[in-house]
Amino acid sequence: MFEKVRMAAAEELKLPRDVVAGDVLVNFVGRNSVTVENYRGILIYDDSRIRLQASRCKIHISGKNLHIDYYSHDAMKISGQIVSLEFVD
Amino acid sequence: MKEKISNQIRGCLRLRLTGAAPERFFNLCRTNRIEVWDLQCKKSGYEFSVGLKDFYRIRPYVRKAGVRVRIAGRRGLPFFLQRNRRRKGYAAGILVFFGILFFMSRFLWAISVTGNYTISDDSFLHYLDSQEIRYGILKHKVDCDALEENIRSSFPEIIWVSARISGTQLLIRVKENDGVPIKEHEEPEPSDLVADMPGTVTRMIVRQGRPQVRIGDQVETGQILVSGRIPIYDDSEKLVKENQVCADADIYARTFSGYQEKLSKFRTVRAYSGRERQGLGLRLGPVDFVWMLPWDTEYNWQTMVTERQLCLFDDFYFPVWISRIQKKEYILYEQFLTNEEVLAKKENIHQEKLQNFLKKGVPIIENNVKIQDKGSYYEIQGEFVLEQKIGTRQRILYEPPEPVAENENQ
Repeated sequence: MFEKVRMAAAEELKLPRDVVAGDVLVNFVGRNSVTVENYRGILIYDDSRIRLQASRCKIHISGKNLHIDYYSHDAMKISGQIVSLEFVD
Repeated sequence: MKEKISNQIRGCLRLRLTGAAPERFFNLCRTNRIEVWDLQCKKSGYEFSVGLKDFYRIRPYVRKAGVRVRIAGRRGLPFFLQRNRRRKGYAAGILVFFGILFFMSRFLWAISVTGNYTISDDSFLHYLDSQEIRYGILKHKVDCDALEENIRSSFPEIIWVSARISGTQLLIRVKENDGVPIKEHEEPEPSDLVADMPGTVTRMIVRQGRPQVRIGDQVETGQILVSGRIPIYDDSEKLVKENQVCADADIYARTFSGYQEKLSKFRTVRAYSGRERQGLGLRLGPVDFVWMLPWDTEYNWQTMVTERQLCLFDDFYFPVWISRIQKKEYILYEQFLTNEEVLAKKENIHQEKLQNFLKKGVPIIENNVKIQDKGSYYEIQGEFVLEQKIGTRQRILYEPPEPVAENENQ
């Protein structure tokens, strides 16, 4: 109930959802680089797949030679040959 | 870039991680704000980089995650110093290098002037030299405020100037007055307007004075167009007095302008033999060194020197210039001009003269050009019929009063 009110208020006030609800932000640069912000943790990492936990879903990134350029508390930059990015509930 | 330099100064470690739950370890690092970068999954395990300070913090998380961490590489200044702590000569060399760098940074090694169009760089450098500002002086001897003031007073055409020292370079930026130069107010003197060239008057607007010509009149050089003497008559048409004013008028006349130019029948051609020499030059302050193979001086050589001043970063100049010297051998010979080349040259010369008038905004009514063969050379003769403003001021000379009048006054 509180969540719904919060989302409605965010919609009305035109506030960004990533700030209000902590939604994940995904930013692609071509197909070789992706930055994920507002993630909660790393579930699996190897050179062909990365699974991240976000606030409402899981993110599955698959590809070849995946490499984490850096990761911090809020953001992670992944580079490599990215094949797909999936949102899984 | 900034982070990379910071990591190199503080030192960082490349670690290899093996174990059952590497993700748990990475999450623990993330939660505890341990910076991890360049994380790669390899066959031998996970490799990543951490800062030297953070390396001492990861021990409890390694134990908690049940993983093993090994050092795969050490990078940065702390490790470099550790490795080279016994090399005294090396350290002394670095110290001497920084000492020289510091010493050299106390002097002025480059002067850059920008924004000047009418005043050449050389004139500026000569002026600065006269102000005791030259290459190699101590930086603290340059008073930028006083220099700005001096430049402004010495060059009236400069309306704005900024001088500052950046690194070992003196940067002078100027703005010149690109508008119409302000003329000092002159007291109008009684004068006539006389023709400065012959022509036929086509238009005239007289603002002050007595016109002496009419539209359609043929005038000669020196002829008075507008007189500055205005006679005052009384009712009986007797001359009472004569007022002298500054004649002011716009007189346009159809004038003729011509030119004659000689054009040689030959042109000098530079033929390259294909022989080339290359060398290097080094200038250390006033001393020049040139490394170049010896060459015969039988023929001419075209020399091209590309010189570059040694500079660290953007503005830390040193009194060291490195140059690349390229020489090409050539032979000079004379070749007859072809008819097409003669016509093209004639056209170029004529167009140049034409453009000179057009730039001044003088309407050209007619233009003709012809070329004559004078034996050893060609003569180009051009004629223009123009409509331009004529007239120049000529001061009315003071005429002493007649002796009779003097006696009357006495």
